Amino acid sequence: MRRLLTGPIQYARELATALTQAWNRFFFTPADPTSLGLIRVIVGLLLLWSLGVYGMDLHAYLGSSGWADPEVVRLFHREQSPAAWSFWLLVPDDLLRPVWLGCMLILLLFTLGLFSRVTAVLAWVIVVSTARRAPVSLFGFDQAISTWALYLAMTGASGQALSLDRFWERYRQARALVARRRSDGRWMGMPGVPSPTISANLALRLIQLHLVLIYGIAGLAKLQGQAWWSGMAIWGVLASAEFREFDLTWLAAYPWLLNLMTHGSLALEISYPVLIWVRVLRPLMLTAVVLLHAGIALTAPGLTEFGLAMLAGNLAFVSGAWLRSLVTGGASAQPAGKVLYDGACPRCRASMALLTAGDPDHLIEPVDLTAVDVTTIHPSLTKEACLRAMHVVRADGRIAAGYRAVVLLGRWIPLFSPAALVGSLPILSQVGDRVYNKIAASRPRDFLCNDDVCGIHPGAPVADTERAHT
Amino acid sequence: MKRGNVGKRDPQPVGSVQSPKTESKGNWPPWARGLVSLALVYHIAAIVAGALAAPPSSTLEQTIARLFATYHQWIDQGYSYRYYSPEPGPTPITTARIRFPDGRPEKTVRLPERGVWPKLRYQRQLALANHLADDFRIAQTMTGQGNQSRWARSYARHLAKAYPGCAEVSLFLQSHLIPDPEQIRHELAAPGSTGVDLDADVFFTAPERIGDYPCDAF
Repeated sequence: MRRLLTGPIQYARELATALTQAWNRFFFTPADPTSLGLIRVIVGLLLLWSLGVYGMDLHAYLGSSGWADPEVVRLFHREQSPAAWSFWLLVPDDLLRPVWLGCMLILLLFTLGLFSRVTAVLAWVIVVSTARRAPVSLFGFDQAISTWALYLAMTGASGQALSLDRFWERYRQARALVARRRSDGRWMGMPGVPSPTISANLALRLIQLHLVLIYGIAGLAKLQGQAWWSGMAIWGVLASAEFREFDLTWLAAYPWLLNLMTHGSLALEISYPVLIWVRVLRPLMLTAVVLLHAGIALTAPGLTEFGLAMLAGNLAFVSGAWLRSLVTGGASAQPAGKVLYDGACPRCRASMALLTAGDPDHLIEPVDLTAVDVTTIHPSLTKEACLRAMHVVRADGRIAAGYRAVVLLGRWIPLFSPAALVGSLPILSQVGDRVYNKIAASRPRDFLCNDDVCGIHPGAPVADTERAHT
Repeated sequence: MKRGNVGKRDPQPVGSVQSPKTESKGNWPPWARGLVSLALVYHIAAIVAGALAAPPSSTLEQTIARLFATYHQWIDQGYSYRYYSPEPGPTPITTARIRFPDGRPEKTVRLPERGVWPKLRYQRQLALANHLADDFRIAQTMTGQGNQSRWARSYARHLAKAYPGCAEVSLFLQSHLIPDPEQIRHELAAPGSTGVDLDADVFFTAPERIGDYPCDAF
């Protein structure tokens, strides 16, 4: 009898403990913010694009004489959603374009991850305000993008990776580190791999859960439709003349293919909420989702942005380490090269700080040539040659020097890769080579303190004992 | 893809248990976790309730969703996410005919306007037509008069301002139908067939007049 009472109580206790532990593990375990940073970049670009397109018909959508009469919008909100808000309803027509430009600037900063905690909130305010000002122009894309923007804003974690905020933080730290070089001439800046945080995990978890809900509900709701059971629902999308870009009516001759696409997409939506959590199946589910949205975008190009927004959300299920390995090649390929720079040259030190701040993992290992025997790095190197130009010694032993080394480093580091791409063009490459050699030959170097006078008025902040070796 | 599969080499994938060092570095105090947990429970309940409350739904689901109405409105959530449900249907097309008293030829505006670039603009116009079609049907049901649609009046006002000096804006609604695959199969199989013109009149319903709106009323 006693066990009948204590048994359930014990079970309830164990259940509560297990649920609490699972809850804490799910929501409060620090996670790598890399994928969240990438989500921010894609969401930011989509928001820029969306508001930019609104800008083509700015007064028609957001002006007082637009499709949605402000009075009707206010009435609509009063009746159906009294707590809804939009700053666009307060903007007079004359200020519409300047405010739009200001919003575009905020979205650009958000995309770049500059002042990301503030700009993420402002970006969300812009998204919601625009949606509320022009409710008649909305479709699925706006729902998805507003949701991701909400989570990026409310967790404050969007700038923890792939952001200028982090770049500047790493740059400042790298400047301090490079000024206090180790005696062996090697130093490491702030690690390229961002620290896992709980706030990043919260954002990723919320996006994951929301995504699961979207696919699940979309799939279950389709079960009401006969065409989804008969396997011909996809025909309704492919043959809709208002959506299509290509003539796909020939598919009518292959009903089994239409059946396969219909059943496949429905099965994906219904199974996604369960199977996406199974790690071994996750790549398969993500591939299927990419195919689904690519197929929708191909048949209905107007839904490309919707597909991209959904795929951005799906990045919450992709590991940060894997995303980084796409760029860095993974831990076994690092460092990709050792960079020999002149530690007595302030400009060279700043350049190295800049490069290490942009290093996504541990692609480069800076080595101050004034503090090491360069032949230990590579037997063919000489100190004189290294002092003339920066050298990069690759992991496989190949050496690049001067402007070619700069371009090579730019190609390795994603932040600088666009500039490296331009800089490697034939004519620009020749010009760059000359400019580099000129700058390198005339670069200032630290004043060497070897008498009492300069000891009172040091020429540069970095004048440690190692420098005397130069 | 340089190596491995998604998540395969992730040392700290989302959801995995972290090392004690990382845990202690990033751990939040219990009170913070408690507060955030309460907020999470409320938020998740609100999102799920919003998605389940769209018709067809039970009275219970609708009642629960109403509890979160203010929160939904405040954060722009509460969507139903029932895309292509119950199944893909005909596409509503809105046509506006704008007449001028000074002899200028009648102007026709189609929503969505074919050939508009980029496609996102086209999609926005498609949304305009969709919303008008929904509001027109609601106005018909509620008042018996489709021209009482608020969005119809709003669109007419916009067109009246966009075309100064106009006399009247007339709005029409029609549906671009989805062709029967069997019929298409037969037409394509017919000797000498060059394809099917999905923009042929046969694939449109007859235009239904939403209403006539004098320009000087705005």
